[in-house]
Amino acid sequence: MLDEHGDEAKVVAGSTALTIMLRNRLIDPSVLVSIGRLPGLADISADDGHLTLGSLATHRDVELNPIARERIPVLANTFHKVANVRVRNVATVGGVVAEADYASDPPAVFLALDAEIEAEGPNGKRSIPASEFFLSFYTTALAQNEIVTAVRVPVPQPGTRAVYEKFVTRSSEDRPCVGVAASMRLSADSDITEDVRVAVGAASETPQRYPDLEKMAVGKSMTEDLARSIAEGYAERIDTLDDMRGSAWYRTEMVKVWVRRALMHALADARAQA
Amino acid sequence: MIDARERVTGRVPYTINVEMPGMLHAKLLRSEMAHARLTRVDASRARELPGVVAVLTGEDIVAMGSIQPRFGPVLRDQPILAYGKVRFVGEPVAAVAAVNADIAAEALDLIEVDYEELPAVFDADAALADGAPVIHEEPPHPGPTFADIILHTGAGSNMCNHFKLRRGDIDAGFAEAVHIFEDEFTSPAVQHVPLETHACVASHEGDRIVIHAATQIPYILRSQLAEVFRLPQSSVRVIVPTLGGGYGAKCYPNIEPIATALSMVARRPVRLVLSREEEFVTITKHAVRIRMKTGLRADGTIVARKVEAHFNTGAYADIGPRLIKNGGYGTGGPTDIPNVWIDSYAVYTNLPPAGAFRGYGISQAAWAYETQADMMAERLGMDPLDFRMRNLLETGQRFATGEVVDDCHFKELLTTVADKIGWDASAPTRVIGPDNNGSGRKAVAKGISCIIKGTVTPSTSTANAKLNDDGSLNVLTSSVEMGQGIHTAMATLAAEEMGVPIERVTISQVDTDVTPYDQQTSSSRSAQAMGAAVVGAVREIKEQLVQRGAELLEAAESDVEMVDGKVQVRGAPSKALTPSEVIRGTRAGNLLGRGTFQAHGGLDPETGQGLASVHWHQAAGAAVVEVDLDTGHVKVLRYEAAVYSGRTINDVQAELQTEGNVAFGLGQALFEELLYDNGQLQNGNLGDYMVASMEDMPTELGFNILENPERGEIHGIGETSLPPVMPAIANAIYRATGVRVTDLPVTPEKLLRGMQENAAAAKQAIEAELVA
Amino acid sequence: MNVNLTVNGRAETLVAEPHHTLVDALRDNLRLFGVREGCGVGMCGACTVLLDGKAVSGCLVLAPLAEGRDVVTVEGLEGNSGELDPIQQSFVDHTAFQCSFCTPGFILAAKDLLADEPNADEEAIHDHLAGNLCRCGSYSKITAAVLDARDRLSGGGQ
Repeated sequence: MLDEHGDEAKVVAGSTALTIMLRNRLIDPSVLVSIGRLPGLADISADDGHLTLGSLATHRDVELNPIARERIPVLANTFHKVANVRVRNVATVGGVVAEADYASDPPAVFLALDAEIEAEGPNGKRSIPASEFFLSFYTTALAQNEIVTAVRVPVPQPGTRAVYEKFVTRSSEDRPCVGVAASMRLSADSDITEDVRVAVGAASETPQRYPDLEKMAVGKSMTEDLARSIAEGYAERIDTLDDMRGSAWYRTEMVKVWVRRALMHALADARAQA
Repeated sequence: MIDARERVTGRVPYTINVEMPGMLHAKLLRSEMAHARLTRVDASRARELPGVVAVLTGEDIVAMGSIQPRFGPVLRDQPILAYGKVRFVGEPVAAVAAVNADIAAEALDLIEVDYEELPAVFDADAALADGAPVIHEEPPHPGPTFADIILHTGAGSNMCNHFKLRRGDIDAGFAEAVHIFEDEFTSPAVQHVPLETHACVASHEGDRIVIHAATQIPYILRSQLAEVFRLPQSSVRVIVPTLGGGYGAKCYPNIEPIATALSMVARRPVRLVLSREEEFVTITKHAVRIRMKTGLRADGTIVARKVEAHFNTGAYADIGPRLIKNGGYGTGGPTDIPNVWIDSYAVYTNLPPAGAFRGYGISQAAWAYETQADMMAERLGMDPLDFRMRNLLETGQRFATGEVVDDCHFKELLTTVADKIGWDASAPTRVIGPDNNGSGRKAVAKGISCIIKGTVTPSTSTANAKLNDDGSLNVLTSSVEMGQGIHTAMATLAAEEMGVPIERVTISQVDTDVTPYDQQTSSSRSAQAMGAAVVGAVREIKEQLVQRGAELLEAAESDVEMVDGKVQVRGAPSKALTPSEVIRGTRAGNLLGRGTFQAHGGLDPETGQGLASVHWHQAAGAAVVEVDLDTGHVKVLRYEAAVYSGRTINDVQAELQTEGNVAFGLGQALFEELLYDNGQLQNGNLGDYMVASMEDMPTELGFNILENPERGEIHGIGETSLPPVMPAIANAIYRATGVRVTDLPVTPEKLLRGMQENAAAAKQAIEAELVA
Repeated sequence: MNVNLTVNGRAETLVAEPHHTLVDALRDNLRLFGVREGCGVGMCGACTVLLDGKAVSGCLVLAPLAEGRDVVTVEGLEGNSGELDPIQQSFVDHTAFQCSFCTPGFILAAKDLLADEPNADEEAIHDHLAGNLCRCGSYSKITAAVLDARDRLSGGGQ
């Protein structure tokens, strides 16, 4: 169907973003393809070390889902921080990744957790790593005739603690100026860091993650200074943007603050459970 | 509130609910250019679209000849639809009425507009510079609505109006001063964001206009429509349903002439309701730059003040020429300053019109003088509270306009809130954290402020009351209910005066065919002004009851009085009649009472001396803020608002209005700001423009509503507690961070930059010392 | 197109264009004026309705997507003989409104909250209701009203 209509067709699931575009006459599609009733796409399930979020699962579904809360609490927490409850009751997992709005919260967490976006089109199914999915403003690796069917998130190894820090500069209801997802796992018998991930969202066109900077912490004991060094590395590399929530200069400063804070927060959590 | 049930069941009758037989739906095509000549507006294809009933362009209106193409409450400078030129992005250029909104929107796409772009100007200073593009070539054309207004317009320039105030001898004042401080303060344009946008349903058929409008000014709207459509005022009927918020946004006409003109052509009723995005380019709060020079005696008392205030009034005057008077004299502040020199200007720019906004110029003025108060206190090494206590007005002292101010409570208001937050100048800042889970250091500190605000003077309100033969009472008033609870307040006063339970009183909806003249529902004036008119109307009825009752009781009028709502012979409770018995007994049908309130005053056009306000509104505020020292993020932990009500009619509603002022002030202190890029609004929707949410509000909020039962005079409180909020919060932030932000809003980014600059300067100073 | 659904307990058919929102369809077809568009972008909550029991922004739901679903507006909260819902009654008792354009949205958001969290505390109320804007700023009275409604619904206290 999408092939047949090309650019004239738009896929609609929760319809939150699309309705705004229609209302503001930003788009004028001749065909709206509702996938809201496709069976199975709203499921949230766990198997072989993955949590699978069906693309039609709403933000609120993820937020409240007992399996999600148990296996990857940071996901539930992050989805809880998106917009307001009315939007979360409607906006879908597939929608938030497919729209690729830079000022969203979930993409950074997906990137930090090595999630894969499952897509399906006339040429079959494929799985796209989050690191290759977000290309630029409102642009993803999805082909025009593909839809997102699910996001598969590897369940972090036992002992991992992850946080998502959402920083807003205006009202509590604002979108993030900067959002940082960080996870950390300490070795079972010492304070040595085995695994660290950091992804920064909302600061630039797409969420950013630098594995070589993450590795600075592996095999060492995390300290405030080390966290600061990693944060400065992120700040140096991210090409921050200007908008009404903060200038590029301010965002760079906030990347320094919030990467450090997210790491220290994750560390405190990891130590607390050790 | 008297209509609480309607309010919780969704049944409040707003203008957007109004439907009329044959009603059409209107949409507006708006300018994409900030300043441009309209070389072609071709609506021919739109006219041909099936379902379109009427299409109008500015040239169509001019060509009709039968109606005045321009309107405006002070200067007739605003075209119903742009013709010749457009003057701001978003100005209505063409209007369509169709059988439904979809067709009207489709028709807009078929209208072709060619622009020839002109140089544009967006800043008041730039607009007054030599060689600036002139926005209005023709001389201004004043109208009759505000006969008292002082006009010093600058024809052929962008000077829309100039207000002057001269008190004492300014040069001598500064000569006497031991300390002189000069500072500059700016506040940006913001929007009112009433959740109900501008809306009206207009019907112009035959020689009659009937319009339902969400407006705060039924009678001004009536006179404007009568003038534009060249009809007697009696032929224009303005009906005002309950408003979904006003805050000054709905104070003067803007969309009503368009809907009426469309209806005139279509000969059917036309509904026009703005979208949120349109609301943002319809009316705003004035952006202002204030240059303030203040001279102090050695003891910290203010001896002289010179002010230059530039109010950016946008492309059309609206109420700007009048607002700069309040915003001008307001910079005198709550202090008897013997030598004052104020020049306040309304300046045209190519931005959406700025007009009345809750606080009416005083927020901008207070932002300047209450910020400067803390800056001056610091420079003198004085406690900001002590500094203010030396300067605050006391009963019998004079305001900048030279008038004696009576019934002053500034000191009491300020000390009340200072005590509540535990003001202690010697220990201003407390630093907490960092804690061990990654959150940084935070500084907590306190700030205070105190303001004076006038109410529109001269002003007039009238009311009628009708006592029915069952003893129930109808009150006919043109005061607009917009959430402030004015109808409940009027019912309360009427019931009290009549001696009947409030359930026996009904307040009319506003309908200029029925409800008598009221100047406007604004300026925090209605409780006092309309309240006096309503009480007067009921008193007139009581006089008639006594007269007629005396007849029935066969007693001399002088021997009869009203006791507990009954007419009785003095000292003889057994000889008493209920109002119902009096009306029925004399076959009066009903008894009608009329009440009038009139406040007199005015200022000299050259010196600004005279009587600016019939009485003075007074408020203070105290804030406790917590600032994240790594990010500049601010949380208001506590806010104490104090306001002088004279006499509170309804405690809960007084608190609600005060909380509303805190919500408005907190948003304006920390984040509200309209952002323009070459005149194009960048954040004209509620995803991009933030207003205060429940979570943004102070964690702890206190209301201190001060009464003076001895006098019993009602003081309006709808706006009074707003102006202190911004400086109180910013003063607290300064004490927490050492960063003085003089341009609102105080954003985290400005604070972080300031803190980094301070740190760098401190480091440099230490290094310089080491080198030496 | 026709949209068949249940509104306030009754089977209804809305006539709507595919791009029409649920707010417009409910107002235009059924004159349910308690549903009001305030911003059109899901930020203010004036258009809140319960869709299959959950609070949603009516301005962000295309009317055809409500096919077969259950919609409750503020008009559906009153009992058969006009008695107010306990949340509505609490809002009356606390005067938890000024212009009240936002009030139905707050009441329905509170309904959604108390259905999920009958013991919601002040923090939970703020978290859940912060996405509803009251420009008049009646927030402290609204919080008090919802706390009171919680206690009424749970039978007079904790």
